[in-house]
Amino acid sequence: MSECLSAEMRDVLPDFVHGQLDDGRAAEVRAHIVNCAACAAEVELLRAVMSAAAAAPEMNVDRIVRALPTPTRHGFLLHKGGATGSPLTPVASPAMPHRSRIWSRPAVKIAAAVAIVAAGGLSLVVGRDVLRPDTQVGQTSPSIEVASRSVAPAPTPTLPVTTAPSSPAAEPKVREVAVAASSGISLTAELQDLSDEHLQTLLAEMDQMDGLPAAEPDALEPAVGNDASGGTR
Amino acid sequence: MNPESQWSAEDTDRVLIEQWKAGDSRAATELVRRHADALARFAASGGEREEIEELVQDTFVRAFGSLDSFRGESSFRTWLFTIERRLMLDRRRAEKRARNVVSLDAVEASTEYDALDGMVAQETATRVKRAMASLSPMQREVFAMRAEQGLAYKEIATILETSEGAARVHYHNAIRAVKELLNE
Repeated sequence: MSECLSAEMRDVLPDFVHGQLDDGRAAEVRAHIVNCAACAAEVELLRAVMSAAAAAPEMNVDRIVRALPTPTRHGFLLHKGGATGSPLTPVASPAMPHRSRIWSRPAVKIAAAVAIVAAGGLSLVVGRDVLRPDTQVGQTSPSIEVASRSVAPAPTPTLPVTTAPSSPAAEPKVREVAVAASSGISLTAELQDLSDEHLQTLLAEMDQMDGLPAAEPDALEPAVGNDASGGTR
Repeated sequence: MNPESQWSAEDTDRVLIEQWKAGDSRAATELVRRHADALARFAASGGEREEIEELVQDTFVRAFGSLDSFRGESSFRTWLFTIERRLMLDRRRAEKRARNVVSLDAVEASTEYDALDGMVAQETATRVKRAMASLSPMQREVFAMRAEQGLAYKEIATILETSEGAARVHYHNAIRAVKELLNE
């Protein structure tokens, strides 16, 4: 069977079979295939192709929708787990801009810079204060307490022994910082409330304590804690 | 294809997309409802046999995640087809690596269609499938889009990143070859 000479008609046959022509055009094609055996055969072939097409499974629209990103005013949130019907779980996406926006504000940047500078200066002051020979026990500023508590690692009683001071004058201060590091902020606060007499008594008792801990000490942590707790090195 | 109804469908898609961007999640449901079945058929006609719903879902997730890049130069459905086809290619590449398959040429496609033969009841359908399996990959893809899915040459060209003229030539060569094979 020879092909139809009308390339235009052959071109639209798939659209005709799929019902995608308007009524007028579809009527033209119908009229044509009545008299054109080639096009009529091709239409039959195309219908066979359509019916032979692999059947597609039915789609679960709700499940697909659950997996879609959720639109927000700032973008969208990606979700996962929709395929298995599990609840939506936000995942990393271009949709969490709040944090970056906050940090992009100039005022916040300036405040952060001031805080960093202040913290650095404070640590210098603390370090000098701790190393000053004539500093009296019990006059530890609150900043030392903060520094020792925030940087000191796990509490351990070995600090005074492992970091035995070379200068006798600095010893009371080192001990206090070490105690603060080992027992927390409350002890240091109580030290401030003690009288000189009580403090002397306490120091005397501490001098008599066995420096070696009953438990197995951690060889590394005390040195770190001591360094960070006031620059006693 | 009816240009008026096509324009209307595209216009509806565009409105729904804008609604979704404005935060109306119901618009997403409507968009999925409008195109999910077509994507499933497209996947099936492209040779996908397993996890078609996952493929369709991935297509929508990708599409909605990058809707800002959709310029409306093609219809939304054509754009979805383009995304789905790329996912299908990615999936086949991954399967190829996993199975250490030599190539994704006509031999593999023939195997797919041959395996499918047992499931196809009608003899004519079986013969059609065999004929399609003998086409070159490009011819087969164009023929499936045009004859099975009824896509326009312009859509096929967009999806395959080729010209309308090339798509038309591939189609006519394909249907000629299928006819010859069926008449043998």
